[in-house]
Parts: sequence; structure tokens; C-alpha cells
Amino acid sequence: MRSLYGFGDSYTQGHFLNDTFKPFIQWKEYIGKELPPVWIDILGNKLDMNVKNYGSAGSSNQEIFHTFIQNCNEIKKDDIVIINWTYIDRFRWAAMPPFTPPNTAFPFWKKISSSTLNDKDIKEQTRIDIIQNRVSYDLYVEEVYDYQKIIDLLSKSIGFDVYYWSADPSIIYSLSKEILNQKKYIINDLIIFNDEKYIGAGGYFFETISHHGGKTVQEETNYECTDNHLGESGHRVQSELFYNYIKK
Amino acid sequence: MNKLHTFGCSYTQDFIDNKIDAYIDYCNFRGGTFPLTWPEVLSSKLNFSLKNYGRGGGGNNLIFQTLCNNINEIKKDDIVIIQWTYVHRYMWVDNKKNNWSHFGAGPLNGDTAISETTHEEITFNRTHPLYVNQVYEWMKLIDTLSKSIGFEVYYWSGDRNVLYPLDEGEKKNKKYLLGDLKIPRHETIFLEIFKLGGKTIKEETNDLVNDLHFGETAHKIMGDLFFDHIKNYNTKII
Repeated sequence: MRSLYGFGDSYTQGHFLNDTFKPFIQWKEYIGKELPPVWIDILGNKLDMNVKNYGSAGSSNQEIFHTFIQNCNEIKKDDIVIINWTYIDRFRWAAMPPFTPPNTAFPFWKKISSSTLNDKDIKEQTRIDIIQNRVSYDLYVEEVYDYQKIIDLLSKSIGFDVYYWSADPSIIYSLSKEILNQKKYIINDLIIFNDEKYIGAGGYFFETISHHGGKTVQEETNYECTDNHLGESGHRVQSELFYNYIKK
Repeated sequence: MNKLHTFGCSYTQDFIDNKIDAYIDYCNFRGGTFPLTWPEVLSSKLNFSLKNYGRGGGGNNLIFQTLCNNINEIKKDDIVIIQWTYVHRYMWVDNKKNNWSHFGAGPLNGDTAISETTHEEITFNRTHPLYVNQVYEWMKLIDTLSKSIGFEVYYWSGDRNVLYPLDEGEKKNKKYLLGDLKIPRHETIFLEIFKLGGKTIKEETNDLVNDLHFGETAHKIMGDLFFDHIKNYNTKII
């Protein structure tokens, strides 16, 4: 059976791999039943492929790329790989003793972003300086395209299909239309640009999902739940758009 | 004609591509010519054309990014040599020039692209072994590509923290250039080059040019040693 691989952050990990995340617990209590399936599981089912989901919430692009490297030996001809790039401000930082949390295998990478507060492993000013540097210049976006070059070559030489999408509008969706219009950029033909109706933290990709009827957890629960990841309809719409694109 | 692709820092970069004052002085000392670097010595012995991507002062991230950026140039039966460098080196965007600056441990010497405290914390964080493991992860991907595309890849390192701490059995893998040499702890393969008579620019110029990079003799020895290593494992090389 062929495999469908997912690499990315929480938008790929979904709501099943971490049952300690409070907003997902709140959502489960609100709907009073098991949480709905994640887009990659619906897609795998529709494509009749075995799903291997390596998404990890809070990951930076470096980490997503490294997770790909750690697992690329198992990817075979005719498999499908979908990589979700994330927000450019995120980076990884080596955790140094003595601040390692108990029960954590040492050594480990810490996930740092604009929303990380009072982390004892990095000085606040260092965190701010690094983020400011990362968000101010396109060179960090170029790094991601360099990763893609090597992944694309591996895809070609092994014979698997690779698709990319991004939660950060500065990655992929800021490319010129000629470059964006490549098969590897999934649903590139549907992406919404500069539509004032759809302004959200998720950028253009999620505006596109919204445009097709996909809602977030917040929206589906009339804002009684705080989470702004995709809800049941959002995951369903994403999987349908991806399926239609892949089958084209 | 097959190609030799070399990646690394100043230990790999061509003299002509890196016109720092010391190299210009060295050139003048020699009567206006630069000597051959080890990639030139090696490519000539292999009868391969050479593409040298080495860049002085760059860190491992730059070396890997350069490889990614040029990966489509590498073809079946080509040879790739990657020289890793000091793990403390990192990339930072210079807001005045909007291009990459490359920093490593030590004072900033007046460079204002980054604050001293942030620079110190980044270089200290990079002493963590995770940054060495990151290099080994890249190697896994490069090895996979080498196998699927059909090029040969070899590695060596200018940083004693990278490759040298691997266990002796692992280091005997053909992909590690001169990996079978017994290098004392806290040393690199440079020690072997110097033992065999290789000299630095400083030594070759009788201290007139204060630069500790390889001079002609050291480049020649390194090119010869690398050739012997590759020939030993690659039956296509005559």
C-alpha cells in the first residue's frame, strides 16, 4: 500500500497527536464526542493510502525540514509527501542545562517563536533580536526554497510526489504567479490574494479554505472555544481541495 | 568530463575568490602568483573539472545552503567533497546591506549588525552538541541523494567537534576523507598535513604574512592525500 506523508506544524499534526493541549480538550467537551478527523486522514482515506503524519505543533521550518530528513529513507516510489511550511519567526534553540524540564529526554531542541514568553533557556532580548531579524528579511524565506530544491531532487530521483503549502503568506504565496503556478504548490490555482474579506492570522492559505466554506474551531463553536485551528468543516474542505488537486 | 564539486569555508575556497589582504601579500611575496589549492591539485590528478563553492568565514548552515542551492549541478559519477567548519559560526541578516553576514565566536570588532549580547548567546548556544548532530542529519540526506543520483560524496572537517568524535569503526567508512588516521583528541587532519611537511602561509613567508591558512606545500599534500584516499575506494579512478 502506498503511503501519504505529512510534515509540518500543528496544521498538519492536527488534534489527535497531542491530547494535552487545552483548547482541544475544551473543543472536545463542547461537541460532546470524539473530535473530527484531520485533513490528512480524510485525504489518505480518499486516496486509499497509508497515512504517516510527522507534523509537530510549534515546529519551525528548520525543524520541519529536519523531520523530513530523519524520515526520508522510508519514502518510496509513488508515495506522496505533503509539506506544510510555517511562520518564518519560529526557530529552534538548543536547550541548555539546568533548565531542562523533568521527564524530558536530553538533549532536545526548544521551539521558540513570537509567542514564547519568559523562556529560561534564552534571554528575552536575544529572542526578540532573532525574531526581528527573521521577519524583516526575505533571506530566511529563501532558505526554505533551498530546502525545497534538495527535496525536489530527492522526489525526482526516488519517484515520489511532493507538494508544498504554507501557513505563512510570505512563503510560497509571495512568489510570482509564474513560479507559483507549479504542480508542487498544492491548490496554487485557488489561492486568494489580497482579498480584504479574508484577513486572518493564517494568511492566504487559510483565507482560501475559509472562502470554500471551511471554518475554524472558534467559528464552529460561536467563539465559545478559543482555538483558531481548523474545525471539522475546515479539515473537510482542506482535504477535498487537496484531493481534487492531486487527482487532476 | 566529470566534475569535482567542493564545499566548505576558507580551508576550501580558492585564493583568487577571497582577496583578503593577507592573500594579496602572499601573492606578492610569491612574485604575483597564487599556488594551487587542494581542490585544484585534486581535480587535476583526477582529471575532473572543478567547481569550488568554498566561502571564507561561512558556517555549516551556509555550506549546507550552498549545497542545496547548487544540488542540480551535481551529476552521476561526479565527486562531491564537503568540508564542515566550526559549529559556532552562524548566519545573520545585515539590516544595512540586506544580505547575509557570517559570524563566529569572538568579538564583533565593531560590526553593528547584531548586538554583542545576542551574538554571545547565539555562539554559546551553538556549542551544544545538537548543532553537531544537525550536521550529521544533513549528511544522511546527502548520502541518500548520493546513492540515488550516483555521485560520490566525501566529508572532512576543520572543527575537531565535527566527525572526529565519531567512533573509530564509523570513521573508517570511505566517505570520511583520511578517517582512518589516528588523530589525537583536540586535533584535526591539519596536524597530519603539518607532520608531512605542509606549511602555513606564515611559515612559507618566514612570518612576513601573518596568516595561518595553508600555503602551497600544505595544499599540495592535502590534495595528494585526498587523491590517494579516493583512488583507494573508487575503481573508476586510474
